[in-house]
Amino acid sequence: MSNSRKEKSVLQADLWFCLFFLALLAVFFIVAGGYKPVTRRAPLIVMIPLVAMLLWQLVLTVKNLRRVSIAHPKQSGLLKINPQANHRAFQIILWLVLLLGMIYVGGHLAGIAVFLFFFLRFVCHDPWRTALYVSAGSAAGLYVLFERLLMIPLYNGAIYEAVSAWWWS
Amino acid sequence: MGVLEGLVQGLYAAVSLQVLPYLIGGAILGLIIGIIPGLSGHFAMAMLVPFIFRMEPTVGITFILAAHATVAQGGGMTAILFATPGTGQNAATLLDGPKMTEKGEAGRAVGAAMTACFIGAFFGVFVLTLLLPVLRKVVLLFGPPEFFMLAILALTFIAVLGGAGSVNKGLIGGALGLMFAFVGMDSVTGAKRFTFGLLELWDGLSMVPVLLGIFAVSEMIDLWITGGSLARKAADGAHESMQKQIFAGVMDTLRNWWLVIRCSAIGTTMGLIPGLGSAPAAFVAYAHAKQTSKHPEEFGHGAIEGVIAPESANDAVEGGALASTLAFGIPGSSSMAILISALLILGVEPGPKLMVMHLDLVFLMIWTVVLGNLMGTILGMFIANPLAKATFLRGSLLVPILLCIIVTGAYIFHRSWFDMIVVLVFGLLGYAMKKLDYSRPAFIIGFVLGLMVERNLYLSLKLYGGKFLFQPLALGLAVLTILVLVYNIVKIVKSNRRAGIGVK
Repeated sequence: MSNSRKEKSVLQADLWFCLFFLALLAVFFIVAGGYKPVTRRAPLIVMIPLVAMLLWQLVLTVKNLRRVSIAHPKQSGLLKINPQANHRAFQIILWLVLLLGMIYVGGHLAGIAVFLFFFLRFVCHDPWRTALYVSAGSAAGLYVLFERLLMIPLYNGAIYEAVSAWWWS
Repeated sequence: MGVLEGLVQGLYAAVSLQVLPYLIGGAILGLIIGIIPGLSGHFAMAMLVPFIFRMEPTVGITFILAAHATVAQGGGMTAILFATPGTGQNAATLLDGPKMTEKGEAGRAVGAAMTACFIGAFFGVFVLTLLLPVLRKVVLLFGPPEFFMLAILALTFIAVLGGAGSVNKGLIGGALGLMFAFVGMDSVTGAKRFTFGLLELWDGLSMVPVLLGIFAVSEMIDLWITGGSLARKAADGAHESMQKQIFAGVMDTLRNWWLVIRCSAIGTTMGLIPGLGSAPAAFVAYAHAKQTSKHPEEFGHGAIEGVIAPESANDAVEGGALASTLAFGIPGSSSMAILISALLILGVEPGPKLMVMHLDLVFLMIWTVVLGNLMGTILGMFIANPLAKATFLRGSLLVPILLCIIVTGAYIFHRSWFDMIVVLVFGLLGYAMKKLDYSRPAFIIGFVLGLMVERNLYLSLKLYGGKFLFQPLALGLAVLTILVLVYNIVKIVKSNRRAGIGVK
């Protein structure tokens, strides 16, 4: 990716970053309006200069974006510039969400073992044996470290909770 | 009992056959806890409290304090090697440590960090022992207005100097951190704030998942996207020369002895002030090292001083915190609050009496911190080699494993499922901040200091009204804050003009 393209994509992302936080702060402002004066005092002291700084950053970003756009008018936007990097970013975020989902359903040990196995086998294309050894080894390592040595119980998962609730009822 | 007699008796007790095994055991345990993301010094102490009930006071104190002493060393190692800080106090090490690992200089960074930790701890406890009678008066000068202004100064310092981007982006990072700190129950009125009906937000966002998200998850996302290994730019065979690198790191720290002393002094002073903790001290030390360096442009790109400064400060903090805990009975941090409980369990009452009646115990604690850190340094250098080899593993193998450890680390502290979602959300925010050059250190400092800022602002207004800023020390700190801000803005504008960039 050329430097100007990279700059443009960073500037566009910066623009969205500022807009996102300005919108979030607008919500915070509205919500803070309902609080007691003492409760909203500190947040307002921070929010007012923060909004000013974000607006200033927005102005600078738009200015720089216009400069880059004039110099390189035919270049495309953020999502089209580096499709491979964007694909990998979405992929890892999606798998992170899946990891949380698996832990929620199966608990830490089972969730992590299943996640690692599928991730290594189907995303990283590691051999079956490597995927199996790493996933089983990691789950066993976490069990020994947290449950046995540090005596910290890990989350057992929704299935276990449901089954144990049914069993005891 | 005289000071010299106490010093000798404390050392004799620390190396006695009855105590030494517990000192070594505690140091090893602390190092392991430090390596695990999410487990901090106060966890180490809290975990050991149930075991000390039946112990002799000397043994119990040594065991618990030795574990606490080495936690930061373990955390520093993982911050350097895996860009995953074991504890909050190692967050500042992330600015240059992982960059050194990328360059294949992990051993050098670890060697420097371990040595800096040891010297910092040594400096902290000994200087404070000597200065205790004077420092009592200094500590008592600090009231709510001074604490408030000190927090603002620390935040400004880091926002301006700690980030790689513009001043505005640094300040935005700090202010965003403050904003997120305000989520949860208002400590003054008890009203719920920005919780949006979520019960999990009533206690506010937890420090550990936010820290792991902002620094560790964002690094993992970046590593996954760019590919390769953590030691991306390492030369072939770099891992083979690990021991040589560690030795070079030790020498680097000794060569930068003046920086180590200054940063240790910063850490010790900040440790004395209750509530500030070691994370801000490490960042302030980092910013100080950058500002006084002859080559500040190398900071953030793997400068050895960027590792030495925070590591020496965050261990020196413990000396300060220990002094105020023992001498005044005021805990400087949550770990010190646990230490006070442990002392009471063992039948030892902290405070001025302790300094007169049990000087040998005070020195035993001082020797424990020193020897525990020495032990941690030596052990750390041995385990650095196998740990560092993992940084040469391909990212596609390391990323999923580390993500599992990070997510588990986020969960274990409060055993809250919600914290795992927090780690994900802040991971995305951290990645965006990293890519767009918003200051992540300033964000974390804002987040850490947020509630302290609010509480002291409230107390200052209650005590002095709007005139609290005109208290002499608070006014001095306010002027210093403005000077730091103006000086750095002028400096940046001038250098940008010279480069023909304009204001960033």
